[in-house]
Amino acid sequence: MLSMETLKDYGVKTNQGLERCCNMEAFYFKMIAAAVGDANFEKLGKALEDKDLQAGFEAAHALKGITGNLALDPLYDAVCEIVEPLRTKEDRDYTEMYKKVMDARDRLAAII
Amino acid sequence: MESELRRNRRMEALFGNDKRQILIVEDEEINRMILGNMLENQYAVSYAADGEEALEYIKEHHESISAVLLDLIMPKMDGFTLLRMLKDNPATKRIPILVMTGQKEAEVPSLLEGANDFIAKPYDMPEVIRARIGNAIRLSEDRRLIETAERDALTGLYARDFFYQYCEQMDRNVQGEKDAVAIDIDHFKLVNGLYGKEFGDKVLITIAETLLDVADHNGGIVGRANADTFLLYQPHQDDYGSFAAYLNKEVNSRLGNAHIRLRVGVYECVDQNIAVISRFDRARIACDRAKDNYSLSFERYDESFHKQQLESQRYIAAMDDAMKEQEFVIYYQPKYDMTGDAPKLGGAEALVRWNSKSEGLISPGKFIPLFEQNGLIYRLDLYIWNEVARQVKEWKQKYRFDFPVSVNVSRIDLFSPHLLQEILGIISRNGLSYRDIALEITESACATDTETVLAVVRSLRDYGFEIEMDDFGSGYSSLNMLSKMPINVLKMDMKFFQRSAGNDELMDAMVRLIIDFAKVMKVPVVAEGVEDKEQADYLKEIGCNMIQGYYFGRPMPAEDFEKLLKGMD
Repeated sequence: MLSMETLKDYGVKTNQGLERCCNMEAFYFKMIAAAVGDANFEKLGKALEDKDLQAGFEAAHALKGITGNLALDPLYDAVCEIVEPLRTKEDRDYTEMYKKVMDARDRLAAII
Repeated sequence: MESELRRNRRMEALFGNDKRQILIVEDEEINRMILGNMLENQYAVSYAADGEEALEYIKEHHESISAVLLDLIMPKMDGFTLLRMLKDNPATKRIPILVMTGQKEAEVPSLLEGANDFIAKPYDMPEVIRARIGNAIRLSEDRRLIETAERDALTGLYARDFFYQYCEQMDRNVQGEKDAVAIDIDHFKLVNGLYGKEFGDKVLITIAETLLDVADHNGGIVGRANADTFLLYQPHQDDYGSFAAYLNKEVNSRLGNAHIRLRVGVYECVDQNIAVISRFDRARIACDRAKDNYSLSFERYDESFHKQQLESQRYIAAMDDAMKEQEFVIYYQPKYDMTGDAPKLGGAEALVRWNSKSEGLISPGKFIPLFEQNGLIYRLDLYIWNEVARQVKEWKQKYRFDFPVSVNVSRIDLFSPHLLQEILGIISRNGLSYRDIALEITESACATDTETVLAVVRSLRDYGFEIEMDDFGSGYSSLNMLSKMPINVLKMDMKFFQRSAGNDELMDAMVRLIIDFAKVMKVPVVAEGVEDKEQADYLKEIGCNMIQGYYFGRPMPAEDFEKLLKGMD
């Protein structure tokens, strides 16, 4: 069940996220739900599979923006970790990093 | 400081009072929604998901968009590309653009492309974002407001105050001597009246265009000061005669053989230490002088003329207080009757002196023509007449004499509707008779508007005042007018008949002519300005009745003249 408490327990800076949503709790929750279901998670996975680092960067960058704005810190931190090497098109193994991102998302999805 | 309320009203007048429209360009829907949620109470918010979509939207709505919030990393067309395109297009470059980025490194390139501000990612608190957007919009609207006020609506030239500011800027940026030039149109009201406002506007626009061409060529700037006065500030030019001629010719030919006359006043090589506005005041003073000179359509400002003008203004400002403080002092110059064996005191002319506390003794030659020009002379003359009447009354009580004391009546006084009543009032209040005060009227006062002047002078004489025609022979009166003039005495000023080597005979002949003329008219002649015995003897010999001048007595304070009266007794 999604609540401020469960979000806090997960590690969300709910104060910041809620403020950005003008303290509209329902709106905030709606945005979080939308973020969890964002297509960029899958796009990122596909891009990494295809070794398309540019597409990977774009997807990760988009996720960084969204998760940052909603203050979903555990997810945001994981995304930040992957976005930087992708920005510089670093040729490396992204499996672990991507797994971290997806784990964080899944944990959040579980709350919802 | 302008109040917020008033500013808002002014903005409303210019930009309407609907919600301002902002466009959010951001590929992530969630971000768009978060931002939209923050802003929709205050703004009408539109959205675009990428650069291309945004460009399409802006093309259609650029007039109504107050600000764009722009993400940098987007599919299809990124934020940098869009930013560059918007800032390159004159129609859209005024729109403030706030770039949304979490990358510090992106800020400098954004600024270089013309971004107005940034919105950080993750987003700041809503109030911070709203304040940044508000500021960016306000700055851009103020800029537009300034641009609107900066230009004269009809001609597109700089409005006066902005023009002056740009002159200062030019001083800072352009080395070397500069000229302040004022250009105005002769009888512009007449042009408007005769040919209509539409043509008048066409004239103004044509002059503006011609001046802009000139300014472009010479490296100057042009402004419009008021209805028909233009200002030009440019590096020093040598030949303003040709400049004025060119301007006149060019404007008239562009208008299609019109007959507009432009006057040009130039303050050359301006003193860059004085305020710009004063430099153009000087150019305009010169321009006003060009008004008087039809053969020449330009005048240079010169320092002495300016000083004279300032002095005049001081005198005018000081006159009221000077009357209250009794700074105007009456002097009396005796007139001597030459008809007997020995000269005998036979009259006096009251003359005013201005003993100013601040300026010292001011010559009547300076302030009388000035007060005549602006009509103040009437008040001064009333003051003098009152003072003289009071003095004559006092003397009449103490001494026995039967000649009048003369006062000057300016041409301006003759046009006052109350003149007769005022003079009669002065006489009766002091218990005098009309024979006690004589009125001196200069010949030139009678030269124009003859009928009015004749009627007034005739009624004064009918009351019994003695009318003396002053400065006879120096004016432009026709003999015909003189013969109609109801005068009792002719006064001729010897300074107009100065003898010098070679013209002795001519001068003597003219003096004799006047005396003969007076004999025909059966009026006595008073010669004033008589400075030596030789002159006095000659005048007596040819039949001059009275003499006034340094030879017999300078203008003197009342106490001194009283001694002469006492001596007579």
